[in-house]
Amino acid sequence: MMKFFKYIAVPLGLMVSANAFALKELNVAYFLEWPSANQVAQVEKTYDERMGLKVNWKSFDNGNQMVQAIAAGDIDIAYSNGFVPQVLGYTKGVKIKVVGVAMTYAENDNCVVHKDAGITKKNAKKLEGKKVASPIGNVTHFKLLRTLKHLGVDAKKVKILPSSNADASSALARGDVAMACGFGGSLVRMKQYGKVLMTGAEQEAIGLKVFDVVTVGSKFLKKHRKVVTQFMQITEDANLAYNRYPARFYKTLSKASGMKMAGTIDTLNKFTFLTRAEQLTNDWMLGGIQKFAKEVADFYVEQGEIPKALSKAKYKKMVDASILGEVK
Amino acid sequence: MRKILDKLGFTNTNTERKTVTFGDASVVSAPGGRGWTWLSVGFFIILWCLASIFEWINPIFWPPIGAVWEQFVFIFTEGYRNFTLLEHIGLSLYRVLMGFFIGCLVGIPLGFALALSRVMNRLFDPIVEFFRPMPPLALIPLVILWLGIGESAKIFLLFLAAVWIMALATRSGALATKISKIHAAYTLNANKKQILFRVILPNALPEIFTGMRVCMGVCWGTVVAAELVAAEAGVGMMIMVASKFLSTDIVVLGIILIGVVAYAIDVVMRYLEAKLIPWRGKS
Repeated sequence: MMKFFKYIAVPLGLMVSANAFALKELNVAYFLEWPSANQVAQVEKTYDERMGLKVNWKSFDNGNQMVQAIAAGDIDIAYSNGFVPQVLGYTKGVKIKVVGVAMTYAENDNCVVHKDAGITKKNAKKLEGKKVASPIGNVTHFKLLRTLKHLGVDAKKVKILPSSNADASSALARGDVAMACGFGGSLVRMKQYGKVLMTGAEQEAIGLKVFDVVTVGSKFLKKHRKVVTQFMQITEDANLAYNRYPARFYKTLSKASGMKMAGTIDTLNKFTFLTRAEQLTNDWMLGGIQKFAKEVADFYVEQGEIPKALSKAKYKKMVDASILGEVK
Repeated sequence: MRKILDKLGFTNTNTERKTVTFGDASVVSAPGGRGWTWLSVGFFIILWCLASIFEWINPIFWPPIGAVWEQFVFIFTEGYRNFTLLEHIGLSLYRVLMGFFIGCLVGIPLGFALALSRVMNRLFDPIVEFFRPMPPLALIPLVILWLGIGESAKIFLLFLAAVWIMALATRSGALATKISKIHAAYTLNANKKQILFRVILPNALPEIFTGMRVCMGVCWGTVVAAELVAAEAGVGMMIMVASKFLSTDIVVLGIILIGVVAYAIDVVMRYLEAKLIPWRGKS
């Protein structure tokens, strides 16, 4: 009966791309102000040439909308989709799979306390009753809640104001909030007005994994395995080229991400682009991600944000490592 | 046959007999004919029930009616994100009414000024015409930088949504006053103040009221967007946060709540309109 929905949705203009049948174009979601190594291949049209397709790169400012766009059929692959939106979407029944890790970035996603607030991790309890601007339902939000829990702060008593990444940094700049959380370019701006509550390294030490994934709609994956494999191969090549000599690509990536040179280099230095071999280990694609997915979902249930999580076995099925297995 | 239709509320023989068969708008708004309302509302509710029972649509895209009802009961009793349902609705309502009120307070005098004074008209016309087509949503980034993320920013956005509509409605209402009426008042030795309050204002009121009703609709549209930015509570915030968790049932609940509240306000305004300006359409 999905046909019923389609026939209503098309006239309503909900479905823009009707090209799923004969694949001539590939729609890929990515983040602005989030310079990833494969953006070299994006701007140099390497993807288009090697796959023989027209690749449409569409920018988003949050992973939740990426997941929604995949559910609606407008996006085929989301490169660097936040892991938390991925898990939340999957838990709600969106048919999406993780085919790889885009990058890890503990230091590129964080909460910054305003310099006038006088709050550090030692007296973090003072955050109760104060305002904190943060995106909701994404990696930043998850990190915030986990950090608060670790520091013994009751998250229910903190006034968390749901805002976009960019708005959170504006609120901190104006001094409207005691703390703001964000990622990428916004985080770079936030740091001008204060200090991070916990460093990324400290957060990793308490068991927080901070990474983005490559997400593909299950249907698309089934139908166009080859395309997805090619996409991952080109990404792998771009990552390897970058890892060998990063400085060569700073200029291109600064332009591609729409960030200033200094911010780009700062952000890039805090990214790790895992190679195929590193991803195909128990820490990541062969068990770590599946386990972490269950942890994330259970944590959100515990926080009362979602009604229920899926079973361990279901989260195992969320990850498909076989594509990376075919990448050379 | 006629009597059965009357009973079901599809016709109302009493009012219809009094007038021509087509062209008298007052009959359309007269009581009766509610059967058609139930027919259209009922059709959509039954369609939704059927879709829920037979699971025609994936709940991510449109939730079953039962799920929305359950969410309503749950949020009504337990609240959503530390605020009760009434607090969410109350806060949105407060923002809408404040923005609307201040918009009227500035917009109505501005409209009269535009209509009645050449200097004022030339002074303010470019400003009004520049801002009028500008969607307040496009100004959100600026408003955040200037006024922050507190109540004042949200109310300012709603004020922006309301003020130009009110100014234009008032101006066109004032301009619609027949010059013969004003001449007549002058011959009766009326002063400027009397002309404004006794002649022009009553003539402009129907248009001002129409403006107010349009305004309310636009304000509800804007409040949802205004609450997308760092709001702690409000129906718009409910919708936005729920969408991040793909809780379409809460999204739909929020939409229905806004619809119901906005409709209730419109009913009140129509009632006030009928009470306060019985001369509408009869000049």
